[in-house]
Amino acid sequence: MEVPTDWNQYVADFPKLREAGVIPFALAQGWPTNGIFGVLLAGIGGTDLFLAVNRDKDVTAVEGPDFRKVAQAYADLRDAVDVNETVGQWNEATAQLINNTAAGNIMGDWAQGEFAVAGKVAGKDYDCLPGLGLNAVLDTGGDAFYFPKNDDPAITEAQLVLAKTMLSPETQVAFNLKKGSLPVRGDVDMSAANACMQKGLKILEDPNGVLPSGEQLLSSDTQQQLQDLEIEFFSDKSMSIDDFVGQFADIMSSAD
Amino acid sequence: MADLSHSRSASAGSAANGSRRLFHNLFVRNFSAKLAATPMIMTVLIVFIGCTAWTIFYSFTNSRSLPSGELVGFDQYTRLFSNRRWNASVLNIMTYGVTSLCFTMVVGFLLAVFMDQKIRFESAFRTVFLYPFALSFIVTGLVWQWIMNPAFGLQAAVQSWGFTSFTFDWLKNRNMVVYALVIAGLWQGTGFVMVLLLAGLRGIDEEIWKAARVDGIPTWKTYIFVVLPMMRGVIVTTLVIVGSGIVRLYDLVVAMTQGGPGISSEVPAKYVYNYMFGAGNLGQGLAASSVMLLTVFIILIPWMLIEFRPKSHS
Repeated sequence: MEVPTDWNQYVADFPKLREAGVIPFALAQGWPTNGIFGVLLAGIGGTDLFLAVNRDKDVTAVEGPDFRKVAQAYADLRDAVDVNETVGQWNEATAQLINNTAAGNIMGDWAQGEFAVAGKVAGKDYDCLPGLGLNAVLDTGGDAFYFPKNDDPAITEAQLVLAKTMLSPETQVAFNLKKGSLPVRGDVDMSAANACMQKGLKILEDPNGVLPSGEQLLSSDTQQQLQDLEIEFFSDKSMSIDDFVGQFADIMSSAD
Repeated sequence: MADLSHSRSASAGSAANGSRRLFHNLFVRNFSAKLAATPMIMTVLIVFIGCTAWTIFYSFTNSRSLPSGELVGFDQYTRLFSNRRWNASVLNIMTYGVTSLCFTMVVGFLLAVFMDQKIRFESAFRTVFLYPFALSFIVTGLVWQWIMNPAFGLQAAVQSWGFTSFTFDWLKNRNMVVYALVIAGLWQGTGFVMVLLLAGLRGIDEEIWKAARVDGIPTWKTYIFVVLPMMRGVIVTTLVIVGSGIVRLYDLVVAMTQGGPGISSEVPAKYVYNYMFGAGNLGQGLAASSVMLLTVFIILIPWMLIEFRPKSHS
C-alpha cells in the first residue's frame, strides 16, 4: 500500500488495513488521546480555528461548523479504534508501529527516538505527516531547566558552562539526531537530519508554521477539564457529537 | 436592698468557688496524665481540626495554585456537582464501596470461621491469606493490571489453551472496570479482615460453645446468632478500617486503570489530587475534599449517636 499524503487518505485506508490484519491506528491511553484532538484541531480545523478556540476562547467558534468537522473526525477515529488494542504508554503505541502490527499514530517528533533505536530509517521504513498533511504547522513546546541561585562563584561558573553546552549548535545537532526532535535554534547545520526532521525544519522556517501549543494558551485548570471531556468522549462510543461540542463550549465559556 | 446585696455576695462567692474547682479539675487533678496527653491534644486541635477548618474555608474561595482569600460563595461546589467526572467518581466509589465492603466482610468472616475449625497448618494458611496485605496498592494494581490485560493476561492465556470464546476484558470495559478494581481490592484486603475477625472468634469464651452444644444448637446457628453478636466490637473496628480504606481509594486506581477507560473508573480522591496539583485549582480540589469529608460524617454520625449514647442503668 502507498503511504498516504494526508489524514483523509489515511482514514479512507482504515478498512483496507483492517482486512490486511493491521491495526489502523495505534492508540495509547491518557494524554496521547488528548494530543490527538489538538492535532486534529490544528490539522483539520486550521490555524485560525485553533487560535480562535485556544487563544481567544471563542465559544461561537466552538459551536461553528468547522469545529464540528474536527469533532466528527475525532468521533470517526474513536469508532475505528478497537478498545482492546489500546495500550498504556505512548512508546508502546510506537512499538506497535515499529513491529508492523499497527499502521499509524499521532505523536510528537520524539517518537522518532524509538524508531532510531530500533534501527528504522525515516522516509524508508516509516514516514511522517506534520500537520496531518493538511495544514503544515507545528505546535512547539519543550522542557525547561532551572538553575538555583547560589553564592558560590564556582557553581555559577559551572551552571553557565552547562547552559552553554546544552544550547551549543554541536550539542543541539547531536542530541536531536538521537532524540528525533527539532533543535531549539535555527542556525545549526542539520544536513545530517533525517527525512522527517527535514520536513519539520522547513515548517519552522516559515513564521506562520509555528503554533503556540494549548499548554501555553490555556490555564492548567482549563486543560484538565478539556482533557477529562476528550477522554470521556473518546472512550464512550454512545456519547454524541452534540453533547461533546456543548460540553466543550461550556468549558470554554469559563476558560482562562 | 440588704437582701439583694446579701444574695449577690453569696452568688459571687459560689462563683469564685466554682471557678476554683473548675481550674482544679482542668489542670491540677491528674496533672501528669494531662501533661502526657497534651501533645496528642495539640495534634488533634492543630492538625485535624485546624486543617479541616482551613480546607473548608478555602473551598469557598477562588484559590488557584496558591490560596487566596477572595470568597466566591458556593461557586466551587456548583461547578463540582455539574462536573461529569466528579459525578462519575461519586457513583464509582459507591459501587466499589458497597461491593467491596460486602464481599470483604462476608468472605473474611467465612475464611475466619474455616480457620477456626482447628485445621492443620493453620499458621501457614494464615500467612498465605494475609500475605497480599503486605503489598502496597501500587504493586497490587500493577500485578492485577497484567493479569487482567486482555492482550497478554488471563484472557490471552485461556484463549491460547483452546477456549477461544473466553473473554475477560473488564479492564477495557467501561461497565465492568469498577468490579476489576473490586477484585484487586478484595485480593489485597480480605486476608486482613480474616485475621481481625479470627482474633474476635478466638476471644469468644469456650464455655459459650459448650453451652450451645449442650443445648443442641447447630454450629452454623451458633456462629450467626450467638458468636457474631458477641463480636460486635471487632466487627465495628473492622468496618471502620475497611471503610476508611474505601473512601481514600486512590493508588489502586492509579496503578491499575489511571481512571480509564475514559473516566469510567475515576474516584473522588483522584479528582481532588488532579485538580489540586495537576490543574492548580486549590479551591476546586478543596471543595471536592470537603464533600468527601461531609459524606463520611453523614455515614459516621448516626452510628456514633447509637454507639456512644449515654447508657441507662436500668
